[in-house]
Amino acid sequence: MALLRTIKRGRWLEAPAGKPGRAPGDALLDLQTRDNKLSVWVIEDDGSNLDEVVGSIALSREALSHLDYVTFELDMVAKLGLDVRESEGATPVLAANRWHREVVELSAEDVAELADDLFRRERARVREAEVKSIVAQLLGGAQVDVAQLDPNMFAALQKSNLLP
Amino acid sequence: MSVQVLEQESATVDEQGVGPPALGTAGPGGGRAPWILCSRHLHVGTAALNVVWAEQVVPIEGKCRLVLAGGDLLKYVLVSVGSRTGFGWQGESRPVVRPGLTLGCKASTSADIERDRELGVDQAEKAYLHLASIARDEVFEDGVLNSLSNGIPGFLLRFGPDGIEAIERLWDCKRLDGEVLAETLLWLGRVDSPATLGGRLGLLLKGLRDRSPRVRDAGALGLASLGDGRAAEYVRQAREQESIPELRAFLDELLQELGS
Repeated sequence: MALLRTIKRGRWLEAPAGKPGRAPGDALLDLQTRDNKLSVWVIEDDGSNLDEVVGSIALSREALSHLDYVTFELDMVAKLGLDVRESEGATPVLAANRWHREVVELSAEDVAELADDLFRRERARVREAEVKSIVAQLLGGAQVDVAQLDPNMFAALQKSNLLP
Repeated sequence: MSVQVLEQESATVDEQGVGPPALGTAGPGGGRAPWILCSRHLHVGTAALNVVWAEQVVPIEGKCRLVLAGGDLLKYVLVSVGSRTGFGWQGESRPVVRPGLTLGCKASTSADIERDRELGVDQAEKAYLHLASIARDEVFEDGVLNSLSNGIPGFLLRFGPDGIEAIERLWDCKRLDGEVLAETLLWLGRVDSPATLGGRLGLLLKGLRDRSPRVRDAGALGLASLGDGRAAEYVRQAREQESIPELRAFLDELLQELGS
């Protein structure tokens, strides 16, 4: 199993000048904690739940957009001495919320180390067209609690003819 | 007969010759004489706007060129319109322009016009700097609305191509930080603004050549949203010169999208 964290890939493209291999400071904007916890998602080894997780994250937003993410192994988290706990997600895709986790008791140094590790990994982008396709499948499969959609997202889905 | 430059703004005239509310308008019986905008931003609907007067109006690719007597070519003008037969309020607060309407007007010089255009761009710069200053305090997330996503549509509606020029000037003078510039390009690709399509495309292509990978990435994302096939050759050139593998891979995907 791996853990997925959404990011804004543009922030991660280049190390700061003179510091090769180090995550840029702006990357920390993608690792903001709340109560020293970082929100992440479990992805099965075969990637079978990736679309469901991507779609649920997309539907919890306000606008249809591409989605960037990075994945890392649970082993890596353990090596950094970090603790991952189950924590029910709050997306409109109720079945996907069970995949949500939190990395807890993070110190500032932990977050910086995590950033450096994630910087060395491959980062992925799900293009907007693909996100729409995943969302369409979730809506078509009646897996979305439409009442939980943000009004702007609701309007965006209507405009894209994904909702009546 | 001459044409007076009074102000400039974007305007779209539809088939019935009805445009948006004009500046300085007033209802019958009071205030200044109503004007319509006849500018380089003018988009002529499927029915040609045939304004007949001493000079010739030539709509060309969305621009309105007035050729004055004596050959003085103006990029744009605002026309003061008096009450004439066939023109009136019809109970609404905006003027109605019908094909064949004769307008009376005064002229100004090309220098006056250029000065007024610069004024428009200066105003647009100030407005965008204000938007950017609010945006600086925000943490942008993909798929989450922010002050730029909310502000750019209104900014472009108000300033049109002058707004695009203003953003470019701020960019060239490095008055927009990388995060704000990147987010700007993202939303320039998404906004629905036919009047600024060419300008937005230009800015996004400029983004592909920026020294900052974050801005290049945002330019590519903006072009993906815009979906304009004219960008394909530029994207191909950018791809050849791109040193960052992630960006190069995305440009490959973008090329496939634009190609289809």
